[in-house]
Amino acid sequence: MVISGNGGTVDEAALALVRSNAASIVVTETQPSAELFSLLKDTGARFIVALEDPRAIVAATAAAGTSDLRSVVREVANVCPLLLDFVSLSGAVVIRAEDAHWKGIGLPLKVATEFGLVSDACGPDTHPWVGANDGLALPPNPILPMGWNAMIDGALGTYAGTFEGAPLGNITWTRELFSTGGDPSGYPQLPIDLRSTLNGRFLVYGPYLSLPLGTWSAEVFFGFSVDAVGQTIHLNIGNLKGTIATSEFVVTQPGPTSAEIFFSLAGGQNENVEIRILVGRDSAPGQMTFEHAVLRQIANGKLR
Amino acid sequence: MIFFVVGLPDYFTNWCERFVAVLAAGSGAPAEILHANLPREICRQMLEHGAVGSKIVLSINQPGGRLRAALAESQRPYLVILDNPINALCELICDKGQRFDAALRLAASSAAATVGCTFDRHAMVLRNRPRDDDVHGLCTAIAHHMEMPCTEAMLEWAVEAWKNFSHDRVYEWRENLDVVQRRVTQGVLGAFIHSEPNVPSRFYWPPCLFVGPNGASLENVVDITGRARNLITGPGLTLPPGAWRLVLELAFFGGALEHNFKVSVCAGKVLSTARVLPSHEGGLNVAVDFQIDHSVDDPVTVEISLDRAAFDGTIELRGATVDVLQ
Repeated sequence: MVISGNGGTVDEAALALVRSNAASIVVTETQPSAELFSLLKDTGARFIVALEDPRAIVAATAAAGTSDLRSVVREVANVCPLLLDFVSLSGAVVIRAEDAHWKGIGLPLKVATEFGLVSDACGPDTHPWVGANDGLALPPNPILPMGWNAMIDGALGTYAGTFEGAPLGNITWTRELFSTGGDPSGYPQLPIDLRSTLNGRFLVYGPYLSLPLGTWSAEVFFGFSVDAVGQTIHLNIGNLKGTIATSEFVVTQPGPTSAEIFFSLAGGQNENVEIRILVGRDSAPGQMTFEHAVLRQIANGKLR
Repeated sequence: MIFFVVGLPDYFTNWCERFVAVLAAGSGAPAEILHANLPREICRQMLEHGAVGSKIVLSINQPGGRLRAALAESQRPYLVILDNPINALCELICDKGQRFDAALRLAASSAAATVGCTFDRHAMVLRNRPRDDDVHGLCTAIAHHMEMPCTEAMLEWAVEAWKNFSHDRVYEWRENLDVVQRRVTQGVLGAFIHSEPNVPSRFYWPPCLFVGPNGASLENVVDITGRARNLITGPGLTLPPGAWRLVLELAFFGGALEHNFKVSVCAGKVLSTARVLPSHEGGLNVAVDFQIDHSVDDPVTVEISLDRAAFDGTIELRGATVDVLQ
């Protein structure tokens, strides 16, 4: 029996076990909860973590005709830190997408062996799993609008390497992932008037994505017009509860520039954060362009 | 394979779950007995014991609404032991060292949740402890209901296990209860003792089952002076499924007459609310209707809160009655 969940599988699995009288159930979860994490951590139970280059998931969704790529990237990016947590557990059996594309019984045999389901009587030719994954195929590469590849690579590329065992590299949040205070549905692709920060409204904010726990630096890249020189720009890092870190700088020259802000995520679980940019006073003259933000993990946080 | 036993946390349930484990084991490896009340606890127990796929007796003392519904949907035979809850109260205090109020809550909540299973046609409901010479017959009936073979050796085990328990202690213990404990016990558990075979229709919740704003047990009037906050909370008791009317016997004094009070009935979520604006000093009964359905897993808690800061005044809870709505 297979139970597919979306954050509530712990309860659902138990209820299914009671209802069904099944000897075993298979539970799949694409948005694993903190409760499931602590359950697997405390019990040391064996479970599979299926890893794939997260960009391939976005590509497959885009190929299927999804128009809102930002939402897809957001959803996938929010799962990646969670998966890193689950991979670190002692009971994790990690399988990767490239394994699934092998022909034959290699992967099913590995899974069955890990769960103690292999019968000695079954030889390689008589395994019931022969051909079980023959139907899997790699998704086609979609053609994406200009700039969207950079968004996907920036937000998800480092996780692809980390899933292969590399350390977590830089994460780049391109402007497509952000919103403007004047038009929350749009992204900051054009210069923004600094005076649009009226009444403390953010000029630019976003992307409210999950990051692994730890200490981080975020370097934000801007461009300023000549008449913006002398203005004070405030940079905040915020989460659902409020502001985590604040920084400010004065625009000293026109053209491209960057500012860095440091922050720590030390809560019980991975947190969604956003970068918020606003000007120090109302009716400030000049314009700003927003380019992107590069996030670097300086120190690992403790796992839940 | 999982075998379910639902019942109060007492020796009768314990004996039943052990007998079912003996039946389930047959001549093979013994079945493991796990205890859980909530779905997530079942998951944890099963994973901790590596129990998925093996023979398990799952003993449940307080099945929530979702678990009761899942049991009914499974259409599997199971046992429901609805013993006199005073037995459970006595054993929780004497054998497990629990405090009177904690044991009372546990016994009452367990009885209420267990009552919810008694209407399932797949449940074999055991209401009274057997006499020694009835044990043999009861075991045969249990084995028949659970659709498991029962050998003479299994019956001998069950008879011996039953004989080894002293059933007289509960009478001695009841004799030693003081007047207040006797009255509270009767109010909270009495409905279960006198209601068979139907769902109890009336409960009395004395003030001692509630706590004041500082978390201490409610004894006298509560001074409402201070910021907006919860003034009285309790009792945290499970109710059987159905439609209920809560009547709170409240009294207001002094500055309390200038304030609005909110009464919320919660069980993991808010079930119902009412506003109270006292018009005179002294007693005032407040009624709140609410429904316990199969999605409710949690015990019922009543919260009486103050809407805005108060400079003076007092409130008193004199008792609460819960009646089933026909």
